[in-house]
This record gives sequence, C-alpha cells and structure tokens, in this order.
Amino acid sequence: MDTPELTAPALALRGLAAGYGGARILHGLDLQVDRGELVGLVGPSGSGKTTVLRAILARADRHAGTVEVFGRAVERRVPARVGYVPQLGSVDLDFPLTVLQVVLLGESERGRSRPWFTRAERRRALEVLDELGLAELSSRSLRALSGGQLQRTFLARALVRDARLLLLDEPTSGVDLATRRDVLATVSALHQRGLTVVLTTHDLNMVAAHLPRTVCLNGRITADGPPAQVLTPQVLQATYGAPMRVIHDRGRVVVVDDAPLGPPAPALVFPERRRAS
Amino acid sequence: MSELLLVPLEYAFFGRALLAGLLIGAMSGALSVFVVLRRMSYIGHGLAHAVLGGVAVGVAMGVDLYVGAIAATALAAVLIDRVTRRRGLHADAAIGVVTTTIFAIGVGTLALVPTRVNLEALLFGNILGVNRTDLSVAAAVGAAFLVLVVVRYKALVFTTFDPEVARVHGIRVDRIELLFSLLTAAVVVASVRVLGVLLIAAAVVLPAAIARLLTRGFAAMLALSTALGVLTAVVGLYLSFHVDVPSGPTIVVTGALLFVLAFVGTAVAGRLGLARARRDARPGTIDVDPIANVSR
Repeated sequence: MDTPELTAPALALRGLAAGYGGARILHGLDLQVDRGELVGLVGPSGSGKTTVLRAILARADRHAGTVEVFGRAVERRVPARVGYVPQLGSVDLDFPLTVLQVVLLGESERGRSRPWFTRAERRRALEVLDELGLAELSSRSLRALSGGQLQRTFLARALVRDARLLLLDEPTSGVDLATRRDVLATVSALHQRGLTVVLTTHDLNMVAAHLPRTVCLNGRITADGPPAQVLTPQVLQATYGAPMRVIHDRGRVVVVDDAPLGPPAPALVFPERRRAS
Repeated sequence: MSELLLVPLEYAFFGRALLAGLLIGAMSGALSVFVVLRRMSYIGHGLAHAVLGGVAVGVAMGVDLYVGAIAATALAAVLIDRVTRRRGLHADAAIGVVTTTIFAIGVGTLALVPTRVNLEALLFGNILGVNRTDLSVAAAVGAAFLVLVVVRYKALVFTTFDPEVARVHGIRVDRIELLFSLLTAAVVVASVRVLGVLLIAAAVVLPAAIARLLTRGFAAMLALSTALGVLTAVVGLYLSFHVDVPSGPTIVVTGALLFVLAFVGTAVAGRLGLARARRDARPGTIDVDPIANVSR
C-alpha cells in the first residue's frame, strides 16, 4: 500500500499567499516539484524568491493556501529531510568552527543531550565532506575557504541529515565564474544522485544553460517550464518589467540585457549637472 | 608571597567570597563566549540595571534582595526575548527598552519609598557581604548552568552560529534563545554580591574577548574563557582584600589588564609574522610574471 510520504511530490504549494506580517509578497502560488527535479526560481529583487523558500521552511507568514513537503503539510515546524543553504552573506565567517564542526552541527538533534559527537557521526560527516571534495579541508576555518568551498560546506551540513529536498538561496550570488561552475557542478551531481533541488538565482543564463526547469516569479508565477520555452522576451518583460533580448544559439538560450538605459532617477542626478542643465 | 595568599583565608568571609568568586568566574567566563559570539555584549549591562530596579522595588516592598532581583531579571529576560522576536527589532533595542524601563521603575521607587539599601555594595560588589545565601544562590545557579549547557551544548552552539538553519535542523531555536536569556539573568543575579551591578557587564564579556584573541576553536575558546573567568575572579578578590577596594573593580581591572596583554601580544605576534613573511619573500624567491618581462 502506498503511503503519501512515499508517493507524494517533493514539494506542493497550493494557492499559497504569504509575506511578512500584513504585507503580502506571494499571491496565490501553485507549484509542484516532483521528486528528483532540479528547479530554478528566477525573478527580480523583491519578487518573492526567498519568501517561497521561507514559506516552505515555515518562516514566512502564510495568509492562505497550503505547503506540503513529501506529502506532509508544513505548519510550524520544518519537515525532516529538508536541507537549507542560506545566502552566504548571512554567515559569520569568523565564528570559531572548523569545516568538520560546521558539518557536524547538522547532526545536532540526533544525540541532542550529548555534548559531544560520536565516532559514527564524525565518520558520516567526513564521508559527506569527502563526497563533496572537502575532506582535506575539514580542519580549516570558514574564513580560509573560497566561495565555492563555503557553499559545499553548507551543502554538506544539509546532506549529513539525509536531506532529500535541498533549498538553496542564491548559491551563485556574488561569486566569480570559476566558483559558479564549481557550485553548479556540485548541485548537478547531487541532482544526478536523485535529490530534489530548488534554488533561487538572478542568473538567467546559468538557469538557461544548466537547469532543466525554470519558474519565473514576480509575486505570482509568470511562467514555468523548460528554459527554452520559458525564457522569452514576453515572459521576461512580464517578470522583470524590462525589455530583454533572447538569442537562440545552437539549442542554447542566451538572455541579453542590451535595452537602452532609461533616464536616471532624479535623486541620482549629480547636483552640479542639474545646475548646469 | 604565601602570606599574601594564606592570610585572607583565615577570615571566613573571604573563604565564602572566594568560593562564590570561583563559581561566578567559571559561569560568567563560559557564558561570555555565547554573549560575545552573539554580539550581545550589552545584555550583561542591561540585565544588571534590571537587577538594580528589582532590588529597589523588592526592598521597598519589604522582601529579600534576591526576590526582587530574580523577579526583575527573569521578567527582563522574557521581555527581551519577546521583543527581539518582533521583526525589525534587534536584541540591542530590546535590551535598551526593557532593562532601562525596569531600572527607571527602581530608581523612581527609591525616590518615593525611603529604603535602607547599601547602594555602594550593590553597585560595586562587596566581599565582606558574601553570606551563606549568596553562596547557595551561586551554587544553585552554577549547577543549573552546568546541566543546561552540557545537555543543550550542541543546540546552543548551532543557534549561536546560524539560528536560521538550526531551526531547519529541528532545533527549537525560540526555546534555546529564551533559555540563554534566562541563564544570563541567573548568572547576573548570582554575581551581584561579588561583582556589583555596574561591573557585571565586563565579567560576561572580558573572558571571551581575551579567549577570542588567543584561540581558534570553539571548545578551546570555551575552556580558556572559563579558566580566565576563574583566574580574574580569584586574583581580583585577593586584590580587593589587600588593597581594600570593592571586589567588582579589582576583578574587572584584572580582566582588563589580561585583555590588554593579549591584545598587545597578539598584535606584536602578527607584526612579527608579517615581517617574517616579507623577509622570506626576498628578491629572487618570488615567481615573476613571464609575460610582464617580455613586454618590458
């Protein structure tokens, strides 16, 4: 007999309206992510990408609708088997913990009243670090890591509790091209292994090149599907409120933002220029 | 030398003060690690002000000093916890609003109801005044502190490092935050007699600040900070006895001197390391960019 936990989609948002206090950011979202999918949420700043993740984690105020993870309704507590990697900017890199200790924290609730980690827990953490190519860095401090290594460390912390649904908040934000490739390769490998991944990003071309499914968001879902179908000038205009060109080149989609710049906001015009004009 | 150490022990009050100092030093030293890493250094200062307000109201109502202090700090801890949870308000604002209000109520009460409170002892600590009740309070708080920190160690560390993700991993972060506030309040109350209201803030910051300069790992920082809390308390109490100055200032000045030593020492070590690195990078040992050479 099938139980909902075994057959249900990894994630199901139905009529989700959510925000912070009385301010509503998401307006009636319907989104289903099946097990093993890799989905990129794109949209302008303030479009609700992070709020979607926070609603799944029961950290946004839900006004209406439901959130289900592996068939279980999310109410006040985060369901087990969900891993979350926040934006790197929110982490104190000077905190006196090594890479291994950060990963071990992911297992904190297993032996919650024990102040130490067991050998088995350490072995498991080292295995996960090894899988992500970080075993040799296990005794390093966070400050000594590159952006990609940091992302992999926090992915390891999520994986050590056997997460099956990974929520990544802008994993490629503010990193150089090599680090971006590093992060994407790791995410792709995890996806290949059967994990469900939902990530937010501003990088449309990364989404077009590497993710099989794109969800465009601007308070509402403006488009949902494979990047080649979703990333069209019309959808991008509806999502970002700005014209963008889309080039199709040998099966690949490239988004080009080469529309002429509009006039600057009045406050940004230098006073001396205003006087001169 | 041995006289300096042994003579004070001939007095029963000093023995009690030393025992209380050991307990309070260890607790405040360990607590300071979480206070400093949470960037909540102001909490000791704020809760100490709440103690003063609570003591004033308690004494005016004719109850024991500790009853007012415990009620006021527990109330302050719970209110700080509640206010901090409101989006847009951080801990510093919550501490400022809650504790100064309780302090103001206490000061107002003192003005309205004449009471006989030894204000100097309350403000700066007094080892002569350490009695059996103070020792019992310090011992009880110490036992509770030890049990809670041991049992919830991992949750405390995770919540201090990354509360958002700790919540995802099943930790009841709200409860841990409240527990931390109540623990801090308990340590502050237990420290009043030895350290004094005005100087508790330093005791829950200095040990960890020194340890942060000297260690890299969390466990090492916690161990060193606890040891430094004990060391500064013991040295400060002896100084208080011999120099005849209230114990609070001598404990804090001892900690401050250690901080200056650690600060200068680590700065000098850093400079020496830089000089060594520059000496090692003598001309001829650095990789030269071949393209730059060609273009020249």
